[in-house]
Amino acid sequence: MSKVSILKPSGQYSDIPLYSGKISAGFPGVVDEHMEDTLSLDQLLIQNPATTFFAKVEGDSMIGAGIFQNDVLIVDRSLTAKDKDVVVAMLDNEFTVKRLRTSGPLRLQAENPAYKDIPITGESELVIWGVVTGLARSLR
Amino acid sequence: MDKPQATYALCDVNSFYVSCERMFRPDLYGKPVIVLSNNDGCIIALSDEAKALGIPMASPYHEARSIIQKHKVTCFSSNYGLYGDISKRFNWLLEQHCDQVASYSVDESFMRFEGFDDELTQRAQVIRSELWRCLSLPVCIGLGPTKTLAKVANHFAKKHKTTTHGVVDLSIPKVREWALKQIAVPKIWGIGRQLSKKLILQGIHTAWDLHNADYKTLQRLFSVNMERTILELRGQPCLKFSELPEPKKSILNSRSFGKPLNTYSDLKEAIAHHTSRCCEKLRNQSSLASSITVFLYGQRKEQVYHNRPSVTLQLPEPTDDTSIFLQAVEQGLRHIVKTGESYKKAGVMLNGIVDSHGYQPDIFEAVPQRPELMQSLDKINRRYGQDTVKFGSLGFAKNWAMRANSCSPHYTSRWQDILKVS
Repeated sequence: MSKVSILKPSGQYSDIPLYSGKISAGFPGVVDEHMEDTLSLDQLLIQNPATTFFAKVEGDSMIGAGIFQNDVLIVDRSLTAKDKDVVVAMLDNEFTVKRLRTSGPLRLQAENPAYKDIPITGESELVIWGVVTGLARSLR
Repeated sequence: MDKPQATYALCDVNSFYVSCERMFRPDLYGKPVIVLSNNDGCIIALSDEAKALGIPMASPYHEARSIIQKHKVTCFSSNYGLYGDISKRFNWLLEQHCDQVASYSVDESFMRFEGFDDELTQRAQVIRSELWRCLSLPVCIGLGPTKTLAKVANHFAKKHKTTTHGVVDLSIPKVREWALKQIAVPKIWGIGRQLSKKLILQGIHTAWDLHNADYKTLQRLFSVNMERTILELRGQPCLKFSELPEPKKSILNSRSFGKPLNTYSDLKEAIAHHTSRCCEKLRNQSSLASSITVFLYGQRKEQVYHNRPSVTLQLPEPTDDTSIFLQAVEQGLRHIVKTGESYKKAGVMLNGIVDSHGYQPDIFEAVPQRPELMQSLDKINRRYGQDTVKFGSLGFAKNWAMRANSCSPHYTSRWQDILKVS
């Protein structure tokens, strides 16, 4: 294995150990054997830490998909976008979050009746920056 | 020549700092972009478009200012937090494609592929397109049976980017000969300017000449390192794949101020900051230090620093405790600061460094050690960012902090700075 220690996934994202290994009495061996990693949200939400970035939602174009203002999107840049994926795309030098539609005419779809579909024609170049794989939101 | 045991690759990112900035600013593709050093003093990275304007690398910003303004070149202050994070991801991605990765610098890494594989050029192309797709990093990859040859191959991949599609393999002897004939000796990895002068006196002008030289003779004339370089050029691996750096014998941290400082409290803050950084580095390499030197640089007159006061403080016992060094430097600083003088630069240096494992403290002289406190401090600061927890004397004013007038957002390390999408 590599000696580049900075690459270990656990160092990069928060994983708070339940137990630090020090115990002064009792049967430490038994405790050690039954230790398991604490659940972490990163583990649940991030498949590819090397290529995953966070982005913050501005506006209400995706409320129909349950994506609201100030939500933190989890964006994986290693995935190839397919029909109906929610993607972060570059449009006129702006980052936008929309649903990609490839069946029928190629377009970006908002999830809010107030917004029209954005057709991708010959003139506008579509650059998919990453695929949205999840989101995080605090409720208070 | 035997079949090589392994193939090495050197993967190097083109204009790394600029590429990191462009990942979050795709509007800047095709436009001239530069990145400035600490204090916004020097140009340390240029996009190809900026190079084409004739802006020289490493030139002072003020010298290039008129070209920069005329051509609306986008300038960034360096965002080392961002570059470090992307560098980590770069290595991580490389690890998924080969048997071993050794990071050589922030923007170049060696890879090792076990066994010989005819498909390596194609594999390198896959790595190249993946780095571009997933991390927006344009890279060139040089392949060869040794690290030295991979480095030469990388040079050609970069020089002939369009014809080679960014990948050159020097495993093939014919290609190797063609390449080595074009490399002048000072360009060879591990041969410095001094050594090349001596080699030229021996009639050795190119890497190909060196490849054909008698390594036994040259080893006697130079050193075992010369023999290794020759064998490496012939395709025989002599360098270790990854070497851990030796623990440093002295640790230094210093920086020029954004503007000259003249008050004791500002200077103390700066010195305390440098002390704190040095102690972190000290603990990182599991060492203790027993002396610390504080130094200041006065204003420059006719390009020369005339006023360079310094003081060295000896501790009774080696330690890695930041607070002990902080107490010492405060005393030291009082000795060297003169009222009415202003200063342009400050720094500290730790010396008398010993390994902390197996160190026997003197029970009579013992300085109280607080390893748990220091470990917690480092852990918190690593996780939540530099200076989340710090000593009071580090201060909060930061009048001394470097100028960074046009730093991009910390997209990967601060929640308030993450990418905005609408």
